[in-house]
Amino acid sequence: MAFNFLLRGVSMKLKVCPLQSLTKGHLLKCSSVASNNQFHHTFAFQLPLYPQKRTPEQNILCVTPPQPHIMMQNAKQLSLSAKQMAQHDHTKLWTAEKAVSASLLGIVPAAFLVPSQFMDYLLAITIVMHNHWGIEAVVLDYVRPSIFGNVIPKIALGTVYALSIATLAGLFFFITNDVGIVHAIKQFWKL
Amino acid sequence: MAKEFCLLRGCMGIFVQVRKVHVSAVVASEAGQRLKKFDIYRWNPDKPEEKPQMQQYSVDLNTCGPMILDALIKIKNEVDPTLTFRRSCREGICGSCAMNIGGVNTLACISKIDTNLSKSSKIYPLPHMYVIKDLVPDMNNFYTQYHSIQPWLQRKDEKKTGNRQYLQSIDDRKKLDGLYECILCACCSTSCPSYWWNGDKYLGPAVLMQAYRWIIDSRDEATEARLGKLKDPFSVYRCHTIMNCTRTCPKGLNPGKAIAEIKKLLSGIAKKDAPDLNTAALQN
Repeated sequence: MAFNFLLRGVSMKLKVCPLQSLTKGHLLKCSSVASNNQFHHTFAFQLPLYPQKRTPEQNILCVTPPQPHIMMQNAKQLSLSAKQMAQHDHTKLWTAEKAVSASLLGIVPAAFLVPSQFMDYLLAITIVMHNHWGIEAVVLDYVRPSIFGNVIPKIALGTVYALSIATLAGLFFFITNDVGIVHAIKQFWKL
Repeated sequence: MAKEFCLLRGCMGIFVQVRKVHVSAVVASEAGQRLKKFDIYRWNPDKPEEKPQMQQYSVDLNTCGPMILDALIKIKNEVDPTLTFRRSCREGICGSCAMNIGGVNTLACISKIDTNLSKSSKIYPLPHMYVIKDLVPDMNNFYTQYHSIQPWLQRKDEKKTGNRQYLQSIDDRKKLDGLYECILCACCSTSCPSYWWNGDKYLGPAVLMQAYRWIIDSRDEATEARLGKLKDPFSVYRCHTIMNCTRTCPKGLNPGKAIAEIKKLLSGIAKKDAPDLNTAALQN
């Protein structure tokens, strides 16, 4: 099928199949072309993969001739956007996430075995970072611009940062002015 | 006379027997029909005002091949010619008939019909794809993403292709096993929740496994460029190792592992080995 796809670009350049080129690569639109001239209407809900200049009510007979190399353009657009995104390097963050996750395996028992204020600070920072990245990933996945628009995702992400900072500040306050995390959990356990 | 009468009675007996056998054969074929119900997703683009619906078909398993695709073809041939689905090779090598059967993304041609007649088989198109008609999804986004990873060999020394072969050791070739067999049926990508939510920016397991196939190829020299393209937060890093991809793959491949290997290469934990053989030894 993938081979078919690669060939599809070729067929458009060579104009082997004029009907297919009229439908701009949507192979199966051909069936609806046969029965329904205003076929664009039926596909109006589909996400356009390339900029569509025609109006929905346009008749098939006056569809503008297809631009060549549509698939190549698609690929270029996609790789371009990937390049733009690549400026934001995520690899170091990922490595840090995994390092913190792994270090928690040691830090949590260590904090309970050797309770001290320093270990409490370390525990607070690593746990909050770990949770923050986890929730940030959830928000990035679910509160996405394609559904919520451009504003709400930014607000949601901001809220996550605010919550994490507030949590960390609260824990720091608790550690400096009270018994600290580990002692608090131990006291709670004794109840 | 008595003798003849006896003969006649004997003959009649045979006639009666023959009739009985014949009747019992008819009864047996009626009773022996194994009618299996199939609930199939239907949507017609020519009637966009009608909502998608499930349509039930009954197929006699005695006169039908063993696979879901056999039943679909039988329904299309004998019951409802408007039923639309993709199929080609009918042996699990083309990936055309990928669909959601009984809640699992798989190939209709290599998944057996459940012979439990009391339950109906539910058949949907691949989940979270734009449907063109009935069981046919729009694969354009998937193919465009595949194109974006540039799935072809890239060399810096390329002068004229097709004259001499590039050398590759047996061990280097082994690294491609479990990767090159992918038929791009999109079963894995469409089973991935991350791909459902961010299919526009996340490349999905099938495409990423092919990206890894070209990254790890000892003959390919564009490794850095290939990895560089995947560094952003979305192309690879929307993978949260849910592993639906590996679980559903009808070819038994492991895209989840390939993505993990990409992440290792991206973070620098792992490095691509230098080729065992001088790849371009024959090129002069």
